[in-house]
Amino acid sequence: MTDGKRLHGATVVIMLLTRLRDFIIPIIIAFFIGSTGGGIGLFAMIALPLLLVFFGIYSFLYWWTYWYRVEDQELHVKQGIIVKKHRYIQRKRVQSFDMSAGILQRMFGLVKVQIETAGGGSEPDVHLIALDRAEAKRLRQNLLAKPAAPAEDEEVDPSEMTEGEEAEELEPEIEASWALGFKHLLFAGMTSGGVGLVLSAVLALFSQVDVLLPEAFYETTIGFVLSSTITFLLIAIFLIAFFAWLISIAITIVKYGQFTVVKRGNDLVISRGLLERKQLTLKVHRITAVRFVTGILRQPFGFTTIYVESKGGGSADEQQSTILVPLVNRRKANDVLGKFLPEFVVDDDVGIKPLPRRALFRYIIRAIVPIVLVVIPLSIVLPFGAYALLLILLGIFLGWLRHRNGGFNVSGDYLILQWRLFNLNRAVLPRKRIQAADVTQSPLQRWRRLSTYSVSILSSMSGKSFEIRDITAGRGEDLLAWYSKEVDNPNFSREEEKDKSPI
Amino acid sequence: MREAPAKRLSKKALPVWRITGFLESLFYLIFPIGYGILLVLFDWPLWVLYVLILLWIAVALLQSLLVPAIRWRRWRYEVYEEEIDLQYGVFIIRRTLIPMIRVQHVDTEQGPIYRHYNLAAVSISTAATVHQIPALTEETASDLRDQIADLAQTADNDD
Repeated sequence: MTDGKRLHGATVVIMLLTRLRDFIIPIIIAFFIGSTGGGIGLFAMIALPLLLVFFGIYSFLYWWTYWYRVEDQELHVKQGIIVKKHRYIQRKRVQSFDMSAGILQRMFGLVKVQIETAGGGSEPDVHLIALDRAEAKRLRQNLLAKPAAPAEDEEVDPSEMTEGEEAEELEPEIEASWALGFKHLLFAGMTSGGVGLVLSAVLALFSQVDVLLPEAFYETTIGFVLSSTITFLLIAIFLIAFFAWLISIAITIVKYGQFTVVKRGNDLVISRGLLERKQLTLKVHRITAVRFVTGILRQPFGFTTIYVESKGGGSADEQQSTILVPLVNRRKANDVLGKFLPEFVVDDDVGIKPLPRRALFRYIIRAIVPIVLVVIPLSIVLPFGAYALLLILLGIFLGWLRHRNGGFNVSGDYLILQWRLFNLNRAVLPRKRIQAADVTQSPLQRWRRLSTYSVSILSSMSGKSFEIRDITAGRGEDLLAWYSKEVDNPNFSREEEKDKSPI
Repeated sequence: MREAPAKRLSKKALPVWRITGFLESLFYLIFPIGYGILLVLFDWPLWVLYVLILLWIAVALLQSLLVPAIRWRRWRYEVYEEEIDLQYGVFIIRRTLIPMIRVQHVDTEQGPIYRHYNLAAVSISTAATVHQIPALTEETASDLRDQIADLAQTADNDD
């Protein structure tokens, strides 16, 4: 066959199981709800097998018609059951090569490969559902290695991929590596702030399950709850929260367990995950920004997370960014970053120019408004709702905190923006990675001589922009001038500007 | 900081925006008409209908007279050798800088109304953003497109 290679045969099974997994909740619900109406027979006898056969045939045809081949300078993928689609991806356009193994892939000892190029679309450009590990590595070598390098075809360790120790590959030497220790991992889980997420998931699950529970269960529980004391209820709430917290720790450990970063020449290889082992290869020169995120819970302990924005790579649950270092002491953050991306290290000494005083009121208003919108109706509707008004104080504090932490600075060719939503963010943006910059000014800002500065950079799927609100109008102009090539560099060291005309 | 960019859009932008503004305001007729229909079905106060009609007239006037005028007065652009400088916005004023080396491609676009008035818009795309200079005369637009394409090609690529 000159068509190229097919995916591993297990693709059919994996696709089928994935489809079933996607449908499992509707199926279960249909099962139970159907059972009360007596319609279970019909559903189970006809719909389910039909669905199974349909998915089976579809998965088989998908695998049968999917071909890929590495040609001279490009990857050629041919797919489509009815409509044939050919896709050619030039080697030099490959932005990231993501190798991961989900539970299904692991069952067969296979890996899933996702390849991305720059540019739009929310799906990875090429998604190879199942390849054997050796083949995936060969592919990566073929696509990512420098054109001059001979394609290595030597045998590959068939055993499980061990953390960052793929010495069997003839790749550039490991220049730097970093691993997340277990203590840090545990701490990351404890402070991940995922409790709320778990709690809401549990609640959502309960709201699904309650249809299935017998009414008698409700009567006894409600009677029990009503007759129990406040102390007991508080203990119960505490216990639920505590278990949610334990679950969120477990989730973090499964997701970020055995986290390692390795730098090899021009590649950053990030591996993570206990159950689903993910391995992402990023090109150093494709990284467009570095972001330090300090979670509210982590801030008191002085720990921060380092994210990178890059063309290609990035996952939805990390806001299209990639975690480079999940947890690091803030004082050591620059040392660790320096091992991998020395060009992004900006001295902490440059400091952050704070927001002007007159912006504080605007920050507080912005923080309060959403709270007020919820709290006022609540305080009217609920019997003791007026206590909810206390939340407004919290909003004022949050607004004050956001104002206090917001700021910016430039250090040579780097722009540093710092802001807080809940977590404290600090982004380091090299001027040559910024795609466009703008200053906006609303009528109210014009009156207060303030403006909002924003810059756009390339991120995984499309552009991403970072902004800093309510800096003085003069600083906004300075920042625009800093980005401009037509104007001499502005003087940032001068004190607060005198009265300046808006834009 | 330097002055606002100097170049302005074509004067013919005004009638075009008035037309599109008016067409857009037709959409808001939904509210008075919808209320009118409900009025027939339910016993709701009549004065609300008058308020809605008045509001619609205000919006229509705003959209077809005031907004186009302000927008035209605000819109400025300037193309330098190394960057493109835009300033626009009706109430919120935005000033944008696009370096030439970031420009991926430039297009001119023309809808039916634009064509009738011999106007065209120039779209400038970077890898992450798209910016549009609306309502230029066809001639200016194609000159500008060629000029930007030319400058973008010769701009130093430091990537």
